[in-house]
Amino acid sequence: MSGRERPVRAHDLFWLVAGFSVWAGGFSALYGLHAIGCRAGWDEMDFVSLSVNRWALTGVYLAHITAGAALYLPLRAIAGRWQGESARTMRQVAVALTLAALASTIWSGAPVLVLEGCI
Amino acid sequence: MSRIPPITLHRALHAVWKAPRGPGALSAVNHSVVGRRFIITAFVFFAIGGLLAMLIRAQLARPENPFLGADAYNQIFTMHGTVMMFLFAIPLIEGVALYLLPKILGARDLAFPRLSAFGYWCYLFGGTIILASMLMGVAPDSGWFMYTPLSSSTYTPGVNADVWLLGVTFVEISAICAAVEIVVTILKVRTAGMSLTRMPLMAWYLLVTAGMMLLAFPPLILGSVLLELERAFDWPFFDPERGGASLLWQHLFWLFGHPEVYIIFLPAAGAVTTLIPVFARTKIVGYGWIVAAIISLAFLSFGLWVHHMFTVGIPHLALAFFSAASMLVAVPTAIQVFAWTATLMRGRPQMSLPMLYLMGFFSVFILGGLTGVMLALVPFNWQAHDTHFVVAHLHYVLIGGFVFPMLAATSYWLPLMTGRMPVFSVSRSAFWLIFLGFHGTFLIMHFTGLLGMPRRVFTYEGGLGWDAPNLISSIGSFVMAAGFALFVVDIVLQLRFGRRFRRNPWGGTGLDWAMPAPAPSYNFASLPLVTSRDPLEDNPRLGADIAAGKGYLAGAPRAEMETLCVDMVSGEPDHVLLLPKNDYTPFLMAGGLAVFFVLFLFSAYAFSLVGVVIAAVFGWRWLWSLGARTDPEPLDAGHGLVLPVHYAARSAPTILGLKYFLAANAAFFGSLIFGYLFLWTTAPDWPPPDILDIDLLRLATLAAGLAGAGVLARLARRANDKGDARWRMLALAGSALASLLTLAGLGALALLNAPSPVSHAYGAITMAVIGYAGLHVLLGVLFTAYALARHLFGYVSAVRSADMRGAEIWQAYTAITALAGLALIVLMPGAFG
Ligand code: HEM
Ligand SMILES: [Cu+2]
Repeated sequence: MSGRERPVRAHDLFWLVAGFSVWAGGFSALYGLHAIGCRAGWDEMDFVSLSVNRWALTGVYLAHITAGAALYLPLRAIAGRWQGESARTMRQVAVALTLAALASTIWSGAPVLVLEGCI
Repeated sequence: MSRIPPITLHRALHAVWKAPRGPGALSAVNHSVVGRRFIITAFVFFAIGGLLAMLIRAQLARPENPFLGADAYNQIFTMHGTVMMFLFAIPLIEGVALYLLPKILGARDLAFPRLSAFGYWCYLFGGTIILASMLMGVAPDSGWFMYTPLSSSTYTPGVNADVWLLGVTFVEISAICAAVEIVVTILKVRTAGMSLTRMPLMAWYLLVTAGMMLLAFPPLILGSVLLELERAFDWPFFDPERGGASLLWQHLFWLFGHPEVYIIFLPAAGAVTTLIPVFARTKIVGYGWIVAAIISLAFLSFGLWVHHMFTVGIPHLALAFFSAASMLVAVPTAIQVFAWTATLMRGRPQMSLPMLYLMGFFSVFILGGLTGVMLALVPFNWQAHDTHFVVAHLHYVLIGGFVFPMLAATSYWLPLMTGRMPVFSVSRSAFWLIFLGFHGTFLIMHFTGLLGMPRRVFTYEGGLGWDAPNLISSIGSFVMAAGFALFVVDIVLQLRFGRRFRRNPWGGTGLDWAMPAPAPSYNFASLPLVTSRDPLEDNPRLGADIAAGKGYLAGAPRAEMETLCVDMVSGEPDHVLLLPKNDYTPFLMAGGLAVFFVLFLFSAYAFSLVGVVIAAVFGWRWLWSLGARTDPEPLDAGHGLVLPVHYAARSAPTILGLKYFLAANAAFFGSLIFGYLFLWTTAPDWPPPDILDIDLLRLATLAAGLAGAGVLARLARRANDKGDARWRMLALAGSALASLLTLAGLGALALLNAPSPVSHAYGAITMAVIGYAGLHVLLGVLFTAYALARHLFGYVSAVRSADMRGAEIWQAYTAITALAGLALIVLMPGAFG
């Protein structure tokens, strides 16, 4: 550890909700974008063998997975520095939630990879 | 500390804390009093809902029963569902939370005692309106989820649906208040040393539940407001003839409705988690895992709402997202069940009364889970959809997952209220009657449903094989009712004849049992320093030490009501919260709202504004009573700890409360934006011919006004931090003026540019967005004017900065949401026109 140990502070509670906020953002974005794309007729426009709708959805899906995964590195670094009585449990909870959220993002958006269309 | 005899401390504290009697009871704000009122009122509504269930069962006991007609039956099952969900389940949770939280957190009261008192009156008045409608025969009758178009004025021309919309909204105000109260109390108002990770798990459960309430109720409130606008003023949000969509109601309702199931379930699960280790004589297994599980559950439960709408023609891909998320929730639920089972296996369980109810919970809930899995299979769902199978499943989950744990909790904590133990033989018989009656009613109802009997029908023909199972269900329900009656008898007996005890009859390890029973008005004579999750196990004499004034803030030496506020995470004390004395303001303010709702119900729309003015006057008075006109001296909290008073502290609860209220408000705004986009993308006849036209200059002026008001409020706060009273005043006045001008601009926009709100849903929802911005700007005028007045009367200083920070936050929120709303209504026609 890096010698810059510090107690867990109020703003660290961010890490309890960050991962699942990314999940929620991804979930809403996919749901909303799908509806908008269908309305705008993107499912009928093709681009490199897939519909524009499919491209957009896949892009949003991957972006949220990347964002969820990207949370993990700073969390490791920051939570590693936590010390004091709450540190252990908070670290456990924050890491578990961040990883669970990443798994949820991957799982609940996965239908964009296999399903298509607006019906 | 000095040696003061406990009885002297008790007298001194009680003199300051005691609840008022007689008519003064209307002014009571103490959490024990308000919590108890919530709990008792909720159980009264449970009895009423139960009575309605008895009527339903009496009607269905035999075929072609002439007892109730279709009309009465519709009202009765709608009222049964509405009463049970909105007037029993949710308020009971709030009551339990308000009553227990300070006791388990080591505090003397909640963060905002008057706010919960206000919430209670809103609940009581709103519930009374709903009940009164039933007595007058105009109760809601469109089912507890009030689907449009059934609930629109075409199909429900009478006042029935308005009762539901207005009454439930009134009650939901109390839910929002309770949620803000619960979150802030848990985060700030704990005893010294109680870090987040030393909190009892019940506090985590309630924290997460309250967080969910803040985000889940706003969509329902928005839906109710929009539907009421449609019914009262003919704004066609849900009318497909004029560009509306009835599905919008279903979305908004279930956006609330699914999380609602978990809002009910989580506190019940919290009670299970609290009781199991006590009766298994061990510690809970997996504290951290449980915390992680409930936080994930809270989030995931917001991604399920569409599974109530599988049959309404939503695209496959969208459905697939929701099915996937529905499967995910099983994981955190399973984690909790594992933790409970592991704890039971590690300990030596004892079959005390609360444990009996927990066993009831396990057996019922597991069956409910199984039928839930059956319903999740799509082909089976089509078979069972809208039959009594669903009714059976629903009650296995609700009674199993909520009522049984709550009865366990009641029998566990009731001795803390009464100071006496239950009378054993009676309470056990009550349990068995409820348990057997429950299965007698609902087990067989699965088969009634499989035999094809639809729900929500007031009678059926004989000879379809439905007669016998229905009769059995009805008999079972009367056995269950007898059980509940005996439960009440048991409480009365306990009050009169129960064995007295002094402290901790069950051997709990939390602070709730470190006080004498019945719990004194001030909870703790002094506030203990906590060093683990089980303070009472570390020091079995803790209760006596507390009573002897060995902790912080012993007694009431300043004749003030004091409790500690701590750092959110570490639990180190950071200031002293001075609590308000008993006050009629919450009662009167809720009374003003009642005037508004009742007059609105009678279509006296203009007059109803009188109620709003009354409420606003008392709201102003309430705010005015906060703070002081001089900078306070720090207080001696004992043991060498000297702390500032809350209104001179940076992290005072008030500002935090405002932020959480705005979080709920943002959820409301988000739902409104969702509604706009939803209509735009799915409703027929969009976009309409007549769209908003606004010139850039007008738009730029409005934007400048909004941004200017926000920036000036910020400058005012910064000037105040530097102690610059002159700039503080000038910037505040500037902010107020900017808001006033913006308000005029928005008014002009609504009157001159916006399309008519009645001819098309587009005009209606556009007007709703403008109205939202206008209302916030208007309140911005009031808040800045209020801050100015406080400045003039000497309530503001660099140290006493809450008024300034409040105005700053409000104006910033207003600027952001109003700008976003304007951008939406201006850009959408351009982008999609
Ligand atoms: C005390 C024993 C209870 C009995 C005997 C009972 C009985 C019933 C019956 C027979 C129905 C179906 C009416 C119909 O569709 O024709 C029903 C509906 C319902 N019940 Fe209960 N119930 C009880 C307790 C509860 C509780 C504790 C809750 C919630 C916490 C609850 C919530 C509901 C809801 C939401 C509905 C659906 C109403 C609708 O269709 O709009 N019930 N109940
Ligand atoms: Cu659901």
